[in-house]
Amino acid sequence: MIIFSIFLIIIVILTIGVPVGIGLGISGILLSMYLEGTKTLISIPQTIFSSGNSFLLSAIPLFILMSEILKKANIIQILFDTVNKFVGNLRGGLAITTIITSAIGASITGSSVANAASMCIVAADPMIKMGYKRNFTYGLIAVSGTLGILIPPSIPMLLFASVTNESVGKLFLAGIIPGLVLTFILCLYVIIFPNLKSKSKKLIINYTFAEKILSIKKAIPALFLPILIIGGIYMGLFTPTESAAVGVAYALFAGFFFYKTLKIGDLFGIFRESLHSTCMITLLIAGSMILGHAVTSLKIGDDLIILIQQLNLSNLEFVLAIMLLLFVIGCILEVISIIYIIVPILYPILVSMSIDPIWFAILFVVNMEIALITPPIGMVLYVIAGIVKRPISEVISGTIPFILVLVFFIFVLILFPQIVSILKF
Amino acid sequence: MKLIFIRRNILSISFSKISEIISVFFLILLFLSVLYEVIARTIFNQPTIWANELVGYFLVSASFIGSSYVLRHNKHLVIDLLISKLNKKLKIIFELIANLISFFFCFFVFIYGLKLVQISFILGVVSVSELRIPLWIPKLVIPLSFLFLSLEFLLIIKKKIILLKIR
Repeated sequence: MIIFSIFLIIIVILTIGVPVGIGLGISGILLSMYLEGTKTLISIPQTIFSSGNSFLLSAIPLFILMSEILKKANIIQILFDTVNKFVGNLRGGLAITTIITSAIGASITGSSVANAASMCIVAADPMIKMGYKRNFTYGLIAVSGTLGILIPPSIPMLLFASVTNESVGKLFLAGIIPGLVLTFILCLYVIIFPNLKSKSKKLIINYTFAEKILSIKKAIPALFLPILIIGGIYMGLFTPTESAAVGVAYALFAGFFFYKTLKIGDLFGIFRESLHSTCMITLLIAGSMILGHAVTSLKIGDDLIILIQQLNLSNLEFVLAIMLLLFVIGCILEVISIIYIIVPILYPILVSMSIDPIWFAILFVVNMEIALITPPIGMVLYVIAGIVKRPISEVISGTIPFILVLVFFIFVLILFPQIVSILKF
Repeated sequence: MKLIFIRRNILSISFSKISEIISVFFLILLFLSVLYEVIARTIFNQPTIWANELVGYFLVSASFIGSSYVLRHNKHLVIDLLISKLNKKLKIIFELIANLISFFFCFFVFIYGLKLVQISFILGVVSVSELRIPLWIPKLVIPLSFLFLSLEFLLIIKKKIILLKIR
């Protein structure tokens, strides 16, 4: 009953347009006042302070900074052109180019929203001009954009690790193969269903070998960045936060001296742009943590464990039930708040049922990819609709088949957990 | 009357500019500190004792002080699915309510944040690291930034009321 009324309060506060971070914070305050009276109020500013006071979370602004620098240096366009020279002539070529570029983009950004946004700017027009259906184009960009949080670096994985004390390095590493498999599945999908309008002309440009080599050369500095980040963490050279700072330094270096597309005058603007996402995310974290603390004192987890024992659920049934639950919650809440509110409840249960937390984290992240493209609260949908200036319903209708692909992928990961565990420390 | 209005606008612009500059400053400081730590540790094998702790404070400062600037540019996550469908007058009324609620939250955090700073100051709480920084100093960021946020929300509320009167 309490859970239901809290949900109702959250939905009402958020739909009238209170910023999500603040709305969650208010719900948290109301809940803790209801449970423990006014004496807990003094802990609220302390919670806000400690929500941001973390060396690990300092990686967030740095990863954001890194992708902002690369965006300014026009890297995604370069990658897009390069990939297109290789796969452009295949059936569904431009769509495949979009997926692969998104996957590469995902390895230099930690957020799906950022990834989808920069892909949308580069890929939407060429795809539509080529004759792809509008809603298919937007849906494809949305879903391949969400690879951003599965392929490392990934801000949600970082937060998951910070909430559960799992190792960020392990999570990042575990995301690589599933990310590649999903990329492959998406490519297969567009080869089978290219969704081209029937009248579109097929444009075949054959590039010479030399041209291909030349464009690869141009892409190499960008391709080296994920190797630097993941390799550095993997070899124990640096912590995730440090790797992010090294990534920023490298991106600056590549932008200034290799691509020469970056100017000193751009720097302040880049910092300012990164501030937007950073402050948005930290306010969300702060609000989610206030609500998360209040929810923890409800001891929902204990009730859940009793329920599982009563129903005699096997691990598999439990995971399936949680995936369904996350799918529903993912429609209403956004990713960061789910991590701070739901994961602390689930994690002890996982441990007690001896479910591999790394494997579960990957399932969780794929589920969050779905959350990013399911209405009413799917942030990637809004970003794309905002950039292409088309009604959001068009984007939503395009994502529906891909949501099914992602659900299918979750089942694949459940049936073949080796996909996750194959790369390990 | 008009003059006062303009002057207030200048005040509000410069105030958002200040929060932007402070915030960018801390962001740069954060980046340089982490970078310095990596270089000192991996190349010179001399890890710092301050980076780990200070970087956390820099993150708090950059993100919360910058929050009011981000609010001004309307870049906080807001779900406007319902509101954007309403007619103009109703929309303004809803926005007014939403901003009032947000203002009260921020003002509440400002007041209790001051209490937090006061308690930390009186008790003389210091950080557990070797630095032993009095914790009221970094915690000062919370009341300060939520004061900024409250003021920003007040400005928005004022704007909405004027809009409502015009219609």
